Amino acid sequence: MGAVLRKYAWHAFAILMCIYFLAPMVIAVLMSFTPSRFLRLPTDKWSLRWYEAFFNDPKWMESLTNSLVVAGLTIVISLIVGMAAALAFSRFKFKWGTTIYTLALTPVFTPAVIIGMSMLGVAYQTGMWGGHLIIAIAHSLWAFPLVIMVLRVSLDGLDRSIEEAARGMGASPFQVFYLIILPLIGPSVLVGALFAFIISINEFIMALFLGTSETETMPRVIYPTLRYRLTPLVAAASGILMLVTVIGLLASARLMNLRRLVEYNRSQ
Amino acid sequence: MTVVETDLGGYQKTVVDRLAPYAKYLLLSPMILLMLGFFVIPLLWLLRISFYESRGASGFGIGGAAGQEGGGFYVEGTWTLDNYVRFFTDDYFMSVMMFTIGFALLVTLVTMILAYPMAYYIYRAPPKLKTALILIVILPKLSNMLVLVYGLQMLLANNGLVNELIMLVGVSDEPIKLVYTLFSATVSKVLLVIPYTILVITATLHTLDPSLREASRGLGASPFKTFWLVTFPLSVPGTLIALLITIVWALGAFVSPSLLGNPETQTLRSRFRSRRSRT
Repeated sequence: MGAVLRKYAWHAFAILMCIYFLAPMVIAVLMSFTPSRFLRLPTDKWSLRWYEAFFNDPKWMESLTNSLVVAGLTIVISLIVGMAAALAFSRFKFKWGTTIYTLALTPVFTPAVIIGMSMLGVAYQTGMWGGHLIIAIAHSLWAFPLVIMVLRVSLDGLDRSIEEAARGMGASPFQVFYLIILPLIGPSVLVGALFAFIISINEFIMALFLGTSETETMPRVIYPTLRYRLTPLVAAASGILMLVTVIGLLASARLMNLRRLVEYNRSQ
Repeated sequence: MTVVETDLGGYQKTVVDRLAPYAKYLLLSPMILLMLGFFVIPLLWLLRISFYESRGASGFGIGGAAGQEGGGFYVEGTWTLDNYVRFFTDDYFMSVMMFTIGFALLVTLVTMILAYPMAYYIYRAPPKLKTALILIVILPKLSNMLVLVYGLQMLLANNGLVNELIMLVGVSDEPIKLVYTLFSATVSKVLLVIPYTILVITATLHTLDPSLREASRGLGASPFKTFWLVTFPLSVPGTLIALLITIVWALGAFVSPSLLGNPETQTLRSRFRSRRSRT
């Protein structure tokens, strides 16, 4: 009896945790379908008027464009950096390999304020401050370690003998990469790109430090609206961010077995 | 690419062959450049600034950095501990710091208490459920933190779902004030911090040899005893890393809302803009 009870308590705990993780976002998105002028849950009627208002507002559309430009640049930077590094880690032996690998992952565990504030000086002195590029570089610091993690799992799972055969038959290292490795790890590259995109489009604090009024990304417009003029328009903007994020994550889960990210044993 | 050592015999060496011995460093170089230029050096720069003499003005060294005479808030080429002395003797800074540290410890404690069992649940879950749980856990970290915080605000508001539930169950007849309290602050901060903690602990548990657990069970230990004497001690090193990450986030992430909320930041931002329009 006690064992059964414990088992139920155990599952109940996990379910409660999942509610804790999901409820805030579900509520935020539901609010966006209200027909009312105020932020409240839609009770009898659902409406898309705030989404319509979002897409008709030039300020929001401009921020959406900025967000997409920054996210696009983030994908390019973090894929180049992450893919090269993942190849190095999985195909070559390094002295202090584990240490270098761990160090490479540190930016992802660094709070955004620290990255944003410290990059401010560099951004200003190089004249990059306020541009899309510097925001994308900051976002890449969070994104590229994830690209490395994702690609390394995938690269280590490949059959090495295919590459060796290709090399033995005269393919150059570049040909091996383009013709053999890239097609095989293609889905994981896409997962890395999706992660980079999701991180960039949602990130707020670095964008606040490094952007200006000309490079306002969506979260930067959400923030003052949330503080000073609370309208369901903000909920619509949040809804769009959440939609993109959830679709991106589900697509990643389809393309790659995300379980392998936590099941992967580094000492293997 | 692993056959870089292959004997090239009579073939003429191409550029690719010449670069081959350095391939691994070339592949790492974009990352090293990015990390040095935009992560390590900026952090060191921030550290260096803390030892500059102050000019008394505020601002992020924009004027000084741009080399304008009298601009910025620090005097270049100086070394002093004044800033630290002033920080540690100022009542206001000290009270803010004490609150920050206290709050971070609370958040860390709650996070670890919730994260470890959840990580263990994910570790023991069947494959499909595991994938779903990983997606759910990582969602708050990848989502926009503003959406998260405002969703929680709506949930915990006086007319929010949680209060309606409380009144329905009959715990209280009138709504309990939940927003803008230590409780709501902790609930939202933990949610922002916990995903990486859970994932790092889950990954740690997966590095353990499952046969040790099986042996312990086979020798007659109860599931709880097995966990307490075998699994948990072995997971301690990874859990400590998770703890470290949690503390860093609890400390660092707290700065953001308080920083974003005060009027000084507003003036600072308008100062940025006016300066930018002049240059």
